Amino acid sequence: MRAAPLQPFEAVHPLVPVTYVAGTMVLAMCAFHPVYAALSLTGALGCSLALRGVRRTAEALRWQLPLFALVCLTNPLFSQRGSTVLLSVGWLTVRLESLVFGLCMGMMLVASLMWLWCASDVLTLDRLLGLGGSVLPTVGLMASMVMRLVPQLVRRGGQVSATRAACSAARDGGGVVASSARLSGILLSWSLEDSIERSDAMRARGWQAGATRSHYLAWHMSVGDVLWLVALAALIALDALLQRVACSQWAFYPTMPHLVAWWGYLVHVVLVVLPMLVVGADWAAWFLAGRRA
Amino acid sequence: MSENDVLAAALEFDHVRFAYPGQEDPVLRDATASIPRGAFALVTGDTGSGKTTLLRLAKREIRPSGDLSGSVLCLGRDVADLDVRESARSVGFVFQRPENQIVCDTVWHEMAFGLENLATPQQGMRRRIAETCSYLGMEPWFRKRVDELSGGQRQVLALASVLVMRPDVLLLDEPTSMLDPVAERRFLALLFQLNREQGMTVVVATHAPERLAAYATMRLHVQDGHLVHMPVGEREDGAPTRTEQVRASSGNPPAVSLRDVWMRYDREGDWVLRGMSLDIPRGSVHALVGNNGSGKSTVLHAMAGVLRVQRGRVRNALRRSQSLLPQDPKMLLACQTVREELLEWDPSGGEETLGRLLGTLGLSRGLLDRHPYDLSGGQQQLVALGKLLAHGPHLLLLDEPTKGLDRPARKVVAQAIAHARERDATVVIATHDTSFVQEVADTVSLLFDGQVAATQSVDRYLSDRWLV
Repeated sequence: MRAAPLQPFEAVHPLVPVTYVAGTMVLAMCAFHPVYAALSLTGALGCSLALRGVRRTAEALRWQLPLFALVCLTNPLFSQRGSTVLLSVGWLTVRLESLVFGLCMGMMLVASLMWLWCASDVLTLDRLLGLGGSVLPTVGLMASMVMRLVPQLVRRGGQVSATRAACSAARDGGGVVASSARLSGILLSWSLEDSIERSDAMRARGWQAGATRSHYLAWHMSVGDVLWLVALAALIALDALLQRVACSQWAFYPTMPHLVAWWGYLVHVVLVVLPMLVVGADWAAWFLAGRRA
Repeated sequence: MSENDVLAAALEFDHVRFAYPGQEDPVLRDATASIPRGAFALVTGDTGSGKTTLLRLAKREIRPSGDLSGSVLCLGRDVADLDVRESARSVGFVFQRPENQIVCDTVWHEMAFGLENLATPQQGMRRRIAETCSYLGMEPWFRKRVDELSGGQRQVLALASVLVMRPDVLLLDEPTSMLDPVAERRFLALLFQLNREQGMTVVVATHAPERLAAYATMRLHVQDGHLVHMPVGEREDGAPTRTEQVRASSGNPPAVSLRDVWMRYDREGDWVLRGMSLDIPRGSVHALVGNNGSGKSTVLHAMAGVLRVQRGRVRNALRRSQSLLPQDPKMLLACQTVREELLEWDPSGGEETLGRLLGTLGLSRGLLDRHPYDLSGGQQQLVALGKLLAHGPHLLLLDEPTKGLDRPARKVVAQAIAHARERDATVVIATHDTSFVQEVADTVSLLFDGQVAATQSVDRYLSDRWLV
C-alpha cells in the first residue's frame, strides 16, 4: 500500500489531478522569475510534506539538495555575464546576476522534480489508465501487463540470486558478468515459459475474439468533477497569463529590475497551496466530526 | 435453446483419439464418456496420462495441435464448430498456476479482461463483475493490486475472472495443487457452492481425488488412453508408510541453530520472525510445519545465511556444504539439457553420477537430452532436487518439496531424503504435507506467529494432533 498519510483528489475523477499536476508542473518549469520559482518550490515542498510525510520528503531531499547546490554554484563559476561583481579572486569573478540565475534554475529543477514525485503518488497507474483506456483499450491493457510483469521479474531476480547464494556449490561460478548472464538466462527462459501459458489463458477468455474491445470504467465523471475541472483550468490559465507578464518584465542580465509586491503573485500562491488546502480541509472535517461524536 | 440443447450432456467425448505431432503413440486412444449437466466430475490419472489433454480438447481456443479423431461435444454442439466468442463464453477454463493465468495488475482490471475482449457494454460489465465479486466475497480486495494478494486469493481471482463470463461448463486443471491446505479447503468449498447452488457443471483434473471426494458426483480415470468410470470415494494410497526408523538424534550437537531471531522484510512491515529459537540436530530430518505466513520459508533462508536478520543469532556449522530447494524449481534450472543441469554443480561427475541420480529420482535416461522446460512440473522438481544432491551436500534445506507432485513423485522425494539421511546429511523441510512428514521426518516443529509453538518427535507430534 502507499505510505502517503493523506490523498487529496482521491475522491475525484483522475482527470482532475492530471490537469492540476500537468498545469502546475509546466508553470514550475517556465518560472524564469525568482518569486515564481520560490513559490513553486515552496508549494512543491508543502505538497510533498502533506502527501508523503516528513520522512519520505527528507529522503528525496537527500539527493535533490546536492543537485540544487550544484546547479546554483556552477552557473556563477562558468557564466561571466551580469554587472554586479560580488567576488573576484584571480581569474574567477562571481557576479550577483549569474548567482541569482543559478539559484532560480536550481529552484525550478527541484520544484519540477518534487511535483513529479507528488504526481506519481496521486496518479497511480490504474487511475491514469482509467483515462487513456477508453480511447486505447489495448494500450491500456499492455501497460497493465507491464506493470504486473516488470515487478514480478525484479522479484524473481532477487529470489533466484538468493537461492543460488544459498547453495554452496553454486557460489564459485565465475565473476559478476558470468553470474549476471546466468541470472538473465534463467529469468528469460522462465518468462518465456510463463508467457506460453499466459497466452493460452488470454485466448481462453476471448482475447482476439474479433470485436473491438470495450473498456471497464472504474471511475465516472460527476457534475462536481466537471466544476472542479473548469475552476482548475481557469485558475491555471489566469496564472499562466500573469506569470508570462511577470517574466516578460524580468531579466537577469545585465542588471535585474527591482522586485515589487504585486497582486498577481497571489494567484500562483493559491494554485500551489491547493493540495495542502484540500488535505487541511479534509483533516478539519474529520476532526470536527470526531469532536461532534 | 432447442430441445436438443436441453437434453444434451454438458460434455461428451465420443471415441476421441489424439496424438501429439511427431509421436506415434496416441495420448488418448478411444476416450468415450458423457458428463451430465450439473455434475461435479473428477478426471484422474497418473502424470502424463492425458488428463490435461482431455480437458484442453474441450476448450477450442487452447486445443493442443496434433492428430485428433472422434468428437468432443459441449451442450450438444461440437466444440470445433463453436466460434471464439461462443467458446469463450460457454466453457470456462482455470489453469494450475494463477500466477501465469492472471493478465492485469489490478483485481478490477483482471475481472474486466474477458468481458472487455467480448466488447461487453459498460452496464453489463458492471452488473456481472459486481455479481461475481459479491458471490465469491471478493469485495474487500477488489481495488487491490494482484501483487498484494495471497496465493489463495489469486486462485479465487483466476476462478472469478472466468466465472464473470457466465460459462455453462467450468474446467479446472489441478486448481489447488499450488495452494496451502487452508486456501485449498476454501477454494474447493467455492467450487462446491457453484455446483450445488448454481447447478454449474464442474470438471476437475486432479491427482489428489480424495480431497474432492466429498463434493464429486462422478470420476473418470484416464488409463491407457481410455476413460474408465470409477467410484468417487475410492482411495488408493492408504496410510503413509515409512521404511526407515525414526532417529532419536536430539542428543547430537546442533548443525544449525537460531537464537532469538527477529526478522522483517521491510522497515514498516510486520515481523515475520518474532524471537524464533530453534536447534536442528546434526544428522536429523527436521520438518517445519505451519500455515502460510508462519515464517517457514524465512527460517530456511535465514538458516542458509541469505537473509539479514534484525536481531538474534544464526549459527550454521554446515554452511560450506549446503543446498536450498526453492518452492519453484525454475529458480534452479539454468542449463539447456537435463544432463548439464544435473552435473552443473558437480562437473567432475560423469556417467556414474548420472546413473546414480537417475536411479534415485526414478527418471528415465531418455530425458537426459531434453530441455528442462520440456519436462512436466513434477519432473522439473525432481531434476532440481537431483542437481542439489549431485555434489552430496551436508545440509539440505527443502522448501515445499512435494508441492504439486503426484503420489509416485512424492515417493521418489521421500526416498531421496532417506538416501541423504543415510550418508548423515542434515535435512530441514518446510511443508504443509502432513503425510509426507510422517513418512520422512524425525522431528517436527510447528511454527506459529513467527515463533516455534512446539518441537516434538514425529510420533509424538502426530499423536498429539487434534485439529487437522
